[in-house]
Amino acid sequence: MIHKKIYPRQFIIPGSALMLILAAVACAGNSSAPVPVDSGAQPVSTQPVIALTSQPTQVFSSPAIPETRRLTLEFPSKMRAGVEGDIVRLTLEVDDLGNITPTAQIEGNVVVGETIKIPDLYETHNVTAEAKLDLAGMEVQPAEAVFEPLARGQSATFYWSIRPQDVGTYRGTVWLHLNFRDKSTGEDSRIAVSAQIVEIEAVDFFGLSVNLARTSGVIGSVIGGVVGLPFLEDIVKFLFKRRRQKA
Amino acid sequence: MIKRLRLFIAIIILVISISLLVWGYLPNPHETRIQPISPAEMQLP
Repeated sequence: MIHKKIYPRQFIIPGSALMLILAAVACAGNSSAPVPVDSGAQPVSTQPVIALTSQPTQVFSSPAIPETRRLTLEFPSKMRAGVEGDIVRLTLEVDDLGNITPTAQIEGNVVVGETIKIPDLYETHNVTAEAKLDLAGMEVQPAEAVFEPLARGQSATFYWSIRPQDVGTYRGTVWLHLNFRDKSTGEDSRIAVSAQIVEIEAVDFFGLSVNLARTSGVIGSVIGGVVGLPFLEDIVKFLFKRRRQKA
Repeated sequence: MIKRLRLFIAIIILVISISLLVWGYLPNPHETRIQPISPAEMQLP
């Protein structure tokens, strides 16, 4: 009987081979896992592509003026008290840069929001802009509200002449209303568009009114000129002498 | 001495007078406010 001696070294190679086969099977079973992609390749998404550009939906709103407008108010922040007058100007003009449809752009995909379908007010109504300047304590011309018809694409401008009698700070409000008259029924409606608070400071020159300051300025210039006239020759000589020295 | 005093007075009078004239005829500083108004603000009530 032959007894074959068993050495543990004999199992190393077959054991290693078995381990490798098991490892390969285990990896193959997990093949659904994401595989790292070569850096040069573009990643491809397996998700279904969602349409990013949506069609605008229409929402109907109450009639409005289909223009974006710009209201410009110009007034003197500081002026001279007394007989001096100045102008306050209010202009309601069409804003050419106005964009009615809201549009957003996200990473190249244009997403158009809902288009607001606004019925044209000019077709159904007569529109009149009404403006008024309320300025307590100051002389305002015209004191009453001023009306101006508003047409498509046209601007409306209002002017007021103001004159502060005394020194001080005057506060007031510039009102702008829109009046609508229905062309078919004649029904009137009115909305307030803007109410802007203005502050105007009336000043004097150390207690002198504007007229007195102007008169004093003219008289003083004449007197100063007469008093200083004999020295005119000396001044001219001095200036020429200095110029010659520099040359 | 009198000549110098006279020149000094003339300069003072002229400076004051010119200051009064400048203040009296200088245009008033104006403030401009611009407010955009959207169609939604001009709707029927």
